[in-house]
Amino acid sequence: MAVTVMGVAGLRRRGVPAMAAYLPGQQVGSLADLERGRPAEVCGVESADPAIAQRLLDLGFVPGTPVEMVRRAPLRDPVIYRVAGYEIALRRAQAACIRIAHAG
Amino acid sequence: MSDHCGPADDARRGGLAVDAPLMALVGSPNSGKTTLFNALTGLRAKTGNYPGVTVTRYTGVADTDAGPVVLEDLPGTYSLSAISPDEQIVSATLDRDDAASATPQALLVTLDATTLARSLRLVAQVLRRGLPVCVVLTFSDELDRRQGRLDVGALERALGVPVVAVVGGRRQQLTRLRTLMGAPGEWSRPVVPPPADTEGVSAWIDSVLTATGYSSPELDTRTRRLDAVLLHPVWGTLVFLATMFAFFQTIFALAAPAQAGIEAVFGWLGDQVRARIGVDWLAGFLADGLIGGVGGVIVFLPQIALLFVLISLLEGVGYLARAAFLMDRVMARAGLEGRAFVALLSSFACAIPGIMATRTLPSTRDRIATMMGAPLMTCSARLPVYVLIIGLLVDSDARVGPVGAQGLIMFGLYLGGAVSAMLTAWLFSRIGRSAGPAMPFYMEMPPYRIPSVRSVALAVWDACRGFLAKVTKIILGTTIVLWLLLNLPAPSDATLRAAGIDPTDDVAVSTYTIDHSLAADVGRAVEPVFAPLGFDWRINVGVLASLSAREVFVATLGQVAAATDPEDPAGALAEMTVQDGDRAGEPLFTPPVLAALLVFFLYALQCTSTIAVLRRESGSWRWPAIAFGYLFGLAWVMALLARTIVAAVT
Amino acid sequence: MSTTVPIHAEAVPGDPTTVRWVVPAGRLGFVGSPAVVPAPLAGLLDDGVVSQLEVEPAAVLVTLAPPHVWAVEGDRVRTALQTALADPAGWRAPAGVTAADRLAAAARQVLAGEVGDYARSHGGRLELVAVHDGEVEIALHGTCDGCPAAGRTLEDRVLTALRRLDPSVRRVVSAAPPEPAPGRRRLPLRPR
Repeated sequence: MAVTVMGVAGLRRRGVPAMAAYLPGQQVGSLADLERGRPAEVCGVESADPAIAQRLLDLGFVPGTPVEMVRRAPLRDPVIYRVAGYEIALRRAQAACIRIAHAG
Repeated sequence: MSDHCGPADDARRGGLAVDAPLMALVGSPNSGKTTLFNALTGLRAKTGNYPGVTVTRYTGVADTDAGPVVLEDLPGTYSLSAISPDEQIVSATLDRDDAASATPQALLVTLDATTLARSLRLVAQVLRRGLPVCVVLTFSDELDRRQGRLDVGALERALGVPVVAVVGGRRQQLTRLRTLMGAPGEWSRPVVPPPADTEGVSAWIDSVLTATGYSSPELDTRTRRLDAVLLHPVWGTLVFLATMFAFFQTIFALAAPAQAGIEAVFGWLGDQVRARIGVDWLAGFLADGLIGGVGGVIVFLPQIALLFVLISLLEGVGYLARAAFLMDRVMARAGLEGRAFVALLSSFACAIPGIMATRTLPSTRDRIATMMGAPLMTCSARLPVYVLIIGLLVDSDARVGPVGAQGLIMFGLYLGGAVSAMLTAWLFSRIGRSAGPAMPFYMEMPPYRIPSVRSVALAVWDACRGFLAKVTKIILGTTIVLWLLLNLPAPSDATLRAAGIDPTDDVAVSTYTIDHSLAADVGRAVEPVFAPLGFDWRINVGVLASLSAREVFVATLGQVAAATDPEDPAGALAEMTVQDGDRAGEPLFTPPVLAALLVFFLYALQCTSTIAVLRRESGSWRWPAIAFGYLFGLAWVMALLARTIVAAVT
Repeated sequence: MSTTVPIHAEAVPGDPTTVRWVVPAGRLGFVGSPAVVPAPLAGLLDDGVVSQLEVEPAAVLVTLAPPHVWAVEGDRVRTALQTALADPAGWRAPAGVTAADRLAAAARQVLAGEVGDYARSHGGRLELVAVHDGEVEIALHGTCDGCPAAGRTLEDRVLTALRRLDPSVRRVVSAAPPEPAPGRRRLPLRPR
């Protein structure tokens, strides 16, 4: 049973204006497909296992948090992301659980 | 085994009065928790086990203004919603209603000042548990260095608990903490604990960060620049391979002089005993049994110490996380993860540190699978055996093309060991698949930091102490038993003369003693098992003796050969012939038999120290028993295969 | 789904029945005891759980009526307060309170707090003179008066601190110091 945590992007971060919610022209996708240099924001976490979804939230991937892709491993997996002020490596299977929105 | 739970037991072990208060350290991984623990407890820390699980328990005695307290360093965790056994320990310990685990009187929560936005999530969960909390703010110096800002007083007000900033465990800064630890009853508590739901916690964190004027630190440029090289697809891999190579070189080359020194010391001790003590059997027992046995263990120490120094340094700096990141994809093919690579790597010098290194793996399934594979990595104890047997197999100047044959065979054995280790780990990972859900893989990449010297020193000390204490008892015991088996029954002069042997001929006496010893009886008794491999009773005795430790094989064969020809044991070995059976009169050590022997040693678990550590790290006898049985069977089959193939080829 | 309003609870020293809920600054356009509050919060007042509400520039003080205690009611009050704050229009200021009053309250809080402490530590004193249309006028006394660094630096500090409490502030001016007497005026060598 899929567990989805969705939230409208827009928690006010210090100094950073909240992203508007799902304007046309804004794309929603999976963190696994995020390219380097493209700013994005987490908009939800979905996983068949609620424990995994909760763990990703506890790691800081909460709706409204900016996230960026830092680098890939030489064999393309895992990938290092920057979120909530720190860097964390995730395998593709885990990154695919995280829905993101990026402008344009 | 020190695996009892409960503050009373801890207190007794710490030598304190039974009612010493229990406090616990909680925090996320990489938050400086262990550095703080070491700074507060120093050498007064002990390693034990949580009963029945593969989690190591660290407790120590810390001084406070109100006297000593028992401090428990709980496993690092990102959340109290546990998904692995060590996180479950944390959650259970913090649960006042959980009768099975002792609830601490107060908690010290480490909070990394550079990652507040994430780290406060765990703090929120801990505050809801209702125990007295004191927050220890770590890395505030790094926050300053990276242009971040935080009002600590405002953080105290916002959290409602005392907040102490501590940098790297410096002595002076701990004074205020020790004062606070003396009176946990006086700590302020949050008037309303933070919310429980995810969105509520996010809102709470937002508000707290605003109130404390938190300015998050800039990107750590030093780390970014280093990672651009060290994690580069090409350069990073090269640096990684170079580091691995240097790793091995250091362990074998640097440790060698120290090991030679230790061997010399014990050899001298043994000589002194034999010279001074008149009673032959006592001298033999002390020199070969006790001193030889202890020396055989302590000779490992330089390698283990060096290995731990290197690993602690690499871990403290933050490079091990990068190595695990680079190797994760490869390890995933074996059903494991990047951190398992580090554990297997450590096994190349000795399986024991490797098995201990599996503590970093969050998944029990991964831990067990890696522990099962670790003994197959070619450990340094196999080297003397390989050298002896390869020397009997091919000449030192034999060549295969441009490469020396001996070196080639050695390389093949190392490779075989590594591949077998991976396959075994994969196999056990698959078997364990039903035992629990697949763990998600995530690994924090901490900034590069200069490790605390004290933490490195304590890690090495702890490892060496554990190795010596737990393992010496076993090695000593088995070596004594084996010595007895090889030298009893001691034949009387009458028995010797009746067999036509001159009692003054030492060589003949030892040969006779060994031939008719209890060990020989055992060796002949198991002949049916080893006959298909071409082993005779003397090899059997060697193999059985080496079940305690592999190098014992060389010593045992040496004893047997020296008994035959003390001047040239190596030559005696080469000329040994089969005594009875259908191969009687033929050379004992033919290429097929030697190949079988090599392969047998590659696979078999012949190390009681490893079994002891497997028992401690896995929490039960089940896994060491499975490992021993499985590897013995595998060794037998592969040895038979080797013998058959080599016989067909030569 | 609505965005959850970021708030957190801080204790009020000496008063276990009252909690200072720190809320985003400038959300409510007034200070003082509100005349009307939105539904869930009003319900707590009506039920006799909450006995008093007091709005500050960046906080709401909530007092519980005995025998209610925060250990039990905390989560409930938080939820009610967050819902109420999501609807600023549902709050009604007490009669006669203006935006200027809110700004004045914020200014007084700042001068009593960190910035005031800074001035006091140097032997000076800041005083609120007037608040008018988003502009705050303060007077500098003691060593602040006549100090060359005083004017610009202090004004900036007060402005920065004020903005965190009341974003409607536009500027801070320091009251004109008394005209120097004709002839040279000596700067005091020691604090008066």
